Amino acid sequence: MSAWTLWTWISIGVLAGGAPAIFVWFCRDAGRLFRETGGELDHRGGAAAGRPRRGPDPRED
Amino acid sequence: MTALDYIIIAAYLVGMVAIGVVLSRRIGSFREFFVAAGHLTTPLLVCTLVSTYYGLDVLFGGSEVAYQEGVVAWFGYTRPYYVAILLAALLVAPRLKRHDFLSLPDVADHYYGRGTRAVVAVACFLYALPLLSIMGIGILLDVLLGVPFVWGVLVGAGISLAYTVLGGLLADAFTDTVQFALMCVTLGIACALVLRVQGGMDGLQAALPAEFFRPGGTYPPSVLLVFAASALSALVEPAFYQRIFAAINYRAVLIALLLGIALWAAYDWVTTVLGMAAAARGIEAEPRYALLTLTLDVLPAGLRGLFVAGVLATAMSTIDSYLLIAGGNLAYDLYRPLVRPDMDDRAVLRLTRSMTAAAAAASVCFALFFRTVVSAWIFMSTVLIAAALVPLLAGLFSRRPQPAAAGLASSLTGLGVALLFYVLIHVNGRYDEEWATQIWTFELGGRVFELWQEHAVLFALPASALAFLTARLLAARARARTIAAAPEAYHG
Repeated sequence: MSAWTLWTWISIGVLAGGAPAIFVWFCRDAGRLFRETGGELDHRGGAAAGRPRRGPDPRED
Repeated sequence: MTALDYIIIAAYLVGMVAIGVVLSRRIGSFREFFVAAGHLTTPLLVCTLVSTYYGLDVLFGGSEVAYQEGVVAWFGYTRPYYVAILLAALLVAPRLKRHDFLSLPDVADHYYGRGTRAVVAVACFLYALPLLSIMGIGILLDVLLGVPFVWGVLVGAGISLAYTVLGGLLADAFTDTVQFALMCVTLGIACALVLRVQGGMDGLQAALPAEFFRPGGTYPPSVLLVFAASALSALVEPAFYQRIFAAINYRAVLIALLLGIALWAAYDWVTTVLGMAAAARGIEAEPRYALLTLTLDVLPAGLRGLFVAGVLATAMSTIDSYLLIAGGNLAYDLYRPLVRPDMDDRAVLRLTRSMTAAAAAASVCFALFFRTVVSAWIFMSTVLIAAALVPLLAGLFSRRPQPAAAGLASSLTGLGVALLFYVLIHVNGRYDEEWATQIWTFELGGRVFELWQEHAVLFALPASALAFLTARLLAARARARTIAAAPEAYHG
C-alpha cells in the first residue's frame, strides 16, 4: 500500500468516523449548554427580551 | 437530481432554519448575540470552528488548485494553515483569554487606542465579508440548476441575509454542529466511492501526469511563498478570535483547535483527492466546478441530495458567521466608539443586525469582481494580515506597552500598501488566462518583471512591520527628548 493510499484512507476515516463521534459528544453536552445560556436575559425571550414592560409590573403586586 | 434528493435538501434547510429560530429567541444582549455569553464548550467549539472556517472557498478553492496542479493544493496551499493554527492555539489563545475582549478590534483598542481599532475594524470587515461562500452558492446553483452565476450570487446573498438576522453566534454554532457532521461524512463517503470508480490512488497515479504528485507542483516559488504567507491570517482570524472569546475556558479552545487541525487536514486531503480525481476522469468544467461535477456524477440518488445539502449548509454557516462579524465590526467596533459612545447595548444589537445587510451587499459586489475563488481568498487574507498581524502580535507579546502611534502607523501602512498594490495591478496589468490571475508585466533597467496580484502580501506585510518599527523609534526619540528637557517630571 502506497503512502498516498494510506493517508487517503486515514483521512476518509477521520471524516466519516471522527465527525460523528464529535457530534455525539456535542449531543451529550447540548442539554446542559441550553440550560446555561440565556442567563443574561430576563425571563422573556426573543424580541420581547430587555424591552420595558407595558403597564404595571406584575411583580410589584 | 431525483425527487428524493430535493426532499432531503428541503428537509435539511427547514431543519436548519428551525434551529436558528428557536435559539435566536434566547438572545437579548450584544454579548449573547456576538460571543454566546462565553458558554461554548469543547465539542461545540470543534464543530463551529471546523464548519465556519471551512466554507465553500476551501471545498471549491482547494479542489480548483488540485484539479489544475495536484497535491500542491494540500502541501502548498493548505498545510501552512495547520502550523499557523497550532501557533494560534498554543501562543495567541492563552493571552487572549486573559482579557474580556469581544472582537479583534477590541484587542487593537486595548493596546493602541481607537485609531488602530478603526483601521483594524475596516480590515476585519473586508476580510469577514463572506463573498467566497456566496460565490460558492452561485457556483452550486449554476452547476445544479443552470442558474447564471450572477443570479446565483444574488439569491445566495439574499437567503443568507434573511437567515443571519435570525440568529446570533449560539444559533449559528448549534446549526454548525449538524452541518459539520453532514459535510464531513458525506465528503468522506463521496471520496471512497469516487476512488472505487477511479481504481484508488494507484489509478489516479496512472491517469495523471507525474507533476500532479509533486508537493511543490509547477507553481513559481513566489506563489508558494504567498500561499504560506496567507496562512498567517489564522493568527488574526476574526472567526477564531470570536470563538476564543466565546469559549468557556482556554482548555476548551486548545482541545478544539487540536482536534480541528486533524479534521481540517483530513478534509483538505480528501478535497485534494477529489479535485485530482476530477482531472483524471477527464471532467471538462471550470476548475472551481470540478469537485461538484464529479461528485454529482458518481454519487447515487439520496446520497447526492445529502451531499448537496451539506454543501449548501456549509456555505450558509460560513455566511452567517462572517456576516455576524462584519455587522459587529460596523456597529460595535466602528460606529459606537467613534460616533456614539453612549449607545446602549440594545441599540448596538439592533444596529449590528441591520449592518449585516450592508455587509451582504458589499459581499455581492466583491463576489462579482473576482474571477477565481483562490484570488478572492488571497485578497481578503492579504488585507487582514497587512493591517492587523504586526500590531496585534507586537501588543500581545511585548513586555512593555507599545506606543499608540506605532500601532496606527503599522495598520494604516499595511492596509494602504495592500489596497494600492491591488489598484496598481488592476489598472496596469492584464488578466492571464493560464494562471487565472491579474498580472502586471513591466521593464526596469532592461529586465522584465512580473507582479501578480497575489504578491501584495509580500509588499504590504514588510511595509507594515517597517512602519511599526519606524514609529516606535520616533516615539522613543521624542520621549527621550522630552525626558532630557524636563527630567524632574519623569524622575520625581
